[in-house]
Amino acid sequence: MAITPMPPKTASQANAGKVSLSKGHPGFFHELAKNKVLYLMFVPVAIYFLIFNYYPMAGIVVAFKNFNYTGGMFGSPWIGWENFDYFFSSGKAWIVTRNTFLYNFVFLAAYTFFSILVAVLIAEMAGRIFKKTAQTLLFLPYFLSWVAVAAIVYNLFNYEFGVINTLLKNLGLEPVDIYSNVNYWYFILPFFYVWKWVGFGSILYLSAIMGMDNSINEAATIDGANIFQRIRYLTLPLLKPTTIILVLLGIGRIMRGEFDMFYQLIGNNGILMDGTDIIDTLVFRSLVLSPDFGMASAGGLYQSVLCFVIIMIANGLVKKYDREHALF
Amino acid sequence: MNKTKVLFTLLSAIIAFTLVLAGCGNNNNKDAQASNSASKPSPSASSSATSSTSTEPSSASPDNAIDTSEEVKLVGYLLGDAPAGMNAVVAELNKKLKADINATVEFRYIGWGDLTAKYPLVLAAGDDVDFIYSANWAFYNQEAAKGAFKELTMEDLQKYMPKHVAATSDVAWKEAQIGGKIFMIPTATPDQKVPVTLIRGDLRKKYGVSEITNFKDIEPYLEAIKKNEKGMIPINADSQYDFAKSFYNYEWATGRATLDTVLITNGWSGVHTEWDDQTGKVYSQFDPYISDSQKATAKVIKSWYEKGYINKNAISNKVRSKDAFEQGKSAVAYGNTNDIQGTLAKAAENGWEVEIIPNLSTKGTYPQDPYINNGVAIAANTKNPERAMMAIDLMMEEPSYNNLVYFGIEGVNYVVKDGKIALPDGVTAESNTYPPDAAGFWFTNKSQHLPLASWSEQYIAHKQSLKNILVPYVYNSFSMDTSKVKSELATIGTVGTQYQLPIQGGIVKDVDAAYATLEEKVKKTGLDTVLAEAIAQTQAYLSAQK
Repeated sequence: MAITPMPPKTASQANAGKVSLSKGHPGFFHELAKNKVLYLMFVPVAIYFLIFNYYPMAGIVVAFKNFNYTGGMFGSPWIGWENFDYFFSSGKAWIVTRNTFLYNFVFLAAYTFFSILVAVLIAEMAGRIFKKTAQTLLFLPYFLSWVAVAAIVYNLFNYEFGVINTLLKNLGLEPVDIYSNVNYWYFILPFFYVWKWVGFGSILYLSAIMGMDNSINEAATIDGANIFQRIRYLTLPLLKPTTIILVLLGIGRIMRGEFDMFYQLIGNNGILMDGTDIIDTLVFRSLVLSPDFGMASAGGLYQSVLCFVIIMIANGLVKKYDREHALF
Repeated sequence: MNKTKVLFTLLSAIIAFTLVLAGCGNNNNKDAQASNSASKPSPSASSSATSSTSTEPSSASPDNAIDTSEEVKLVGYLLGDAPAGMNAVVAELNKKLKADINATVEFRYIGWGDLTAKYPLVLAAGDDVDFIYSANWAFYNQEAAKGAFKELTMEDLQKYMPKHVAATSDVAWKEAQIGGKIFMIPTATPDQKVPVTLIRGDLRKKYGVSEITNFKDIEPYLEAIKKNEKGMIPINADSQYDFAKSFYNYEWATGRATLDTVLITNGWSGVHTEWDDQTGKVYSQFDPYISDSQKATAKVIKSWYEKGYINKNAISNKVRSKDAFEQGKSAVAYGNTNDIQGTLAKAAENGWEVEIIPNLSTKGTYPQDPYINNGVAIAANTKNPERAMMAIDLMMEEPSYNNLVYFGIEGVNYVVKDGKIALPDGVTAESNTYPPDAAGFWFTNKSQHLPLASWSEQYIAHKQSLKNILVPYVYNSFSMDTSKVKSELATIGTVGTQYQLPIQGGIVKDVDAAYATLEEKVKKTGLDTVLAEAIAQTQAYLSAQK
């Protein structure tokens, strides 16, 4: 959350160096008055975040209330931790928390790795037309909804008419029942995650590569560095700050499952569930037939708290080893 | 530091960050909006029309006439999607309503996909809804308990809905009561329907399988299809509707024909009552009386699954057997009396002979739908409950209104031919912009409707047989107050999905072991609490009935 206030801060530091060396620590209002134009420019952003991200946080109280329409959000009676009971008494709290964390960890790692790989490859590609075509094709899955992807996956993998099983049968091999064996899904899910997101991710990294000073590269070429050396010693190190920021942001949502994906691809398949159930799908299944704002909010709050703890730890670690690149 | 680099890094980070926050913020925003509008009932667009019966004692005439001098615009919510011809029908409807009660109605739809999420939100927001479709399977209990609906007194109903009160049996109002108070207007004519299984009569005869009138005798037919029809799966089931159907149809026909006592229409609580048992004994599913027979059924279904009579990936398939049946990809279709009409019509077009097997208990019965299976509720925050009730009264009971909202505009969407509802010349079932029953007005008085010309003799015979099949179910008007056990029910539901559905689909390795796991998990999550609560509440209900 410290990204947005950063520009005024750096600017004020620059100013401070010039003007107010003698004043020691200027007060808050003094600071405001001095950089009023910069702060004015910051106001719309601040208002946006206050309205859409801070104000709704008050809604957290619903997780501790027996919500009814007459009382509304703040007038409904308090019921303590009761809304959390269904989650922890299901005996699955640990399994889904673990699954959510591990899947997202694998997703994030694979996504970062392949995004950087693709970005570097595209940046080094020579042919302009080929480059643009490759980028477009990679970006295409980003626009598909998981509903459509689920249909594709089903048509690839289903037992009777699936592409893969038809192929196996024609080759005289035994068809495999993918939808009742969880082991396949440990690979299928990350594969489709990366397939869908790598186009988007590579653009973020590509923009960072494009922003690099080309003269460094030229100098290295003149000094006799080959393409691999340039990537290894120039591009990758220069990508480090972007990578750290994007990974930290990714970690910030590591407890938020990719609900659409799990729900569309796995659905209510009980056979796969111990290996593929995440917090979001468990909460959804628990409440889909008897919607309850309090219990749903409790699930969301649990995720938020875990997210918060994890991002604090991750940022703390970055700060400890590489102060300059920490988020806040 | 390189300036461009910093700029790009920041830019990309900010873009990503905004996306992240936008994603995270979504849920909270919804809650906030919901509560906002709930806590401060802001003046709505239709506020100009202040309560029409804000009684001025001086003008109150002795004969109870209702003052409709002020024009009112009502907003009503229905379920499903608006058919293409909706606007024309609504324009016609509003012309009539304007003349009769000086009101107009705007209809909005809650799509099936959003039902569970959007229905409570519409009511929570609350300031722009006057009436809404309501039913026991569409959260009537839960929403009424949360105070979403206006309480209706019999005096008000008699005053504003005289036609409907006259047409509706007392039982209906009793069913609609929650804690002695009425929160919805139930239909006068509950649906007459039973679950049915359709099979291909032409194929059955072709392969010399003898006639099937009971689902328990269906196996030879499945076997013949599997052996002879390569492009067809005997039961091509989907993951939602059909998945557990084979299990229940077989179990009802051979063992215990039970309903879920707590969650009658949606969900699973592990607590059951047999619909043929007029004393209404409440069983745990793991009472041997129930579970022994269920295990036997599960083994049969498992054998069907293993022999390839049921598709392997039913649990991930999204195409209903009914639709696969129409395309010739399934030899069996599951549905009910009402929703198979289209399938029958399409089969007739293909020249197939279809046989209807009703899915009944061993005694040949099925419980009658309760009245509260279809109805309308008045939103708690409406400013014009009187006019809403009057409009609903007309739509439900006045034949011209009833036919308009149910069948569309005469001459455009339907014509009456030989005392039957038929399509006008040049209009086909496909091109009709307002197909019967499709617009969500399921609460109107269906006894006023003429039969459809498209019904086959066999379908008419099936409909006529229903009166010997449908029996009253002792807990039809019982609606359990689930507020004390809601977290148990939520957990039992997830356990059911994970451990019971695979048993019912026949995809577990060992039925007995799977039942043992299911029992262990369900007991751990509080089945006994739910059972005790259900027994207590049903006992109280039964003694109150006497």
